[in-house]
Amino acid sequence: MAGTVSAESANVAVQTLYQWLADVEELARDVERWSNQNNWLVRRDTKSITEDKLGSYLVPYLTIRAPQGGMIFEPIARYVVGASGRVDLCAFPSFFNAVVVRTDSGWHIKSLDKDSVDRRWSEESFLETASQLMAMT
Amino acid sequence: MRKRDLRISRIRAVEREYRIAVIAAELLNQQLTSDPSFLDLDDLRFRDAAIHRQNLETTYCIRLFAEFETGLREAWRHAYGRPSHPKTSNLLEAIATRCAMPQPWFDQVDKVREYRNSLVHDESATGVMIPLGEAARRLCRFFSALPPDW
Repeated sequence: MAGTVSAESANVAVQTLYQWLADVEELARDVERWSNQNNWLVRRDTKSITEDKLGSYLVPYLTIRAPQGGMIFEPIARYVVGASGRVDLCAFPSFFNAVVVRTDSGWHIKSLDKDSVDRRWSEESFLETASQLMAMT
Repeated sequence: MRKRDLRISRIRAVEREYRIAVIAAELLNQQLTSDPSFLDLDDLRFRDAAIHRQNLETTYCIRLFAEFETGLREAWRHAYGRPSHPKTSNLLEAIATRCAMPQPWFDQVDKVREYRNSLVHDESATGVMIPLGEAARRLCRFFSALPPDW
């Protein structure tokens, strides 16, 4: 019986991981496509994430360079408080960032400050957020 | 310095003070070993020093968490514009939710909170001892997820 429960939970973990990886990959492709359309340079690397419930896995890690500055696209974790996944958009060298969270209604961009900006993920919201972040010094 | 970095540096400062206090307590212990009457002029006894040494880490753990909580409440007011004064457990969860914080970062700080509570309120059944250096690391990591400035 214990083996059955364990096998079931392992199966759930695998399904959770596959869905998470697919959603992150789709998000990364959005960023690549929209950045390329704006003549921003994008370099794709991978990073490893380790989570207690999922083990270690690889995700895309993007570095974006635009005339106004640079930014990284960095998946953080599937298991976060209050959402079902988090990816950071972090400008450099200022380290100002916005958080892209996965919810039941899809991806949303949230600001971390008191303005509590919460925008549905779209080409427009991504480009505006990225431009604002990269303009910060 | 940004407010977030300032708050992290203050948590780290408490940890450094603790390390100094450990060294000072050890030096005092050595002095008392060679001269048991060393504290007599201050109307203190060897046993007082022993209790001081024994309680040092828990004393600093309470102070460490106080520094962390003060910073969180400042961020709650100014970074998130909230005038309320929630319970510490609710405050942790509210900020972690707003930051979409990785679940283990939150869980591990909640363990530090439980440990602090067991020291302050004598709830020894719920708090598991966490070494001060590890507690400081967890609190700083939590704080690193907050907005950089407010």
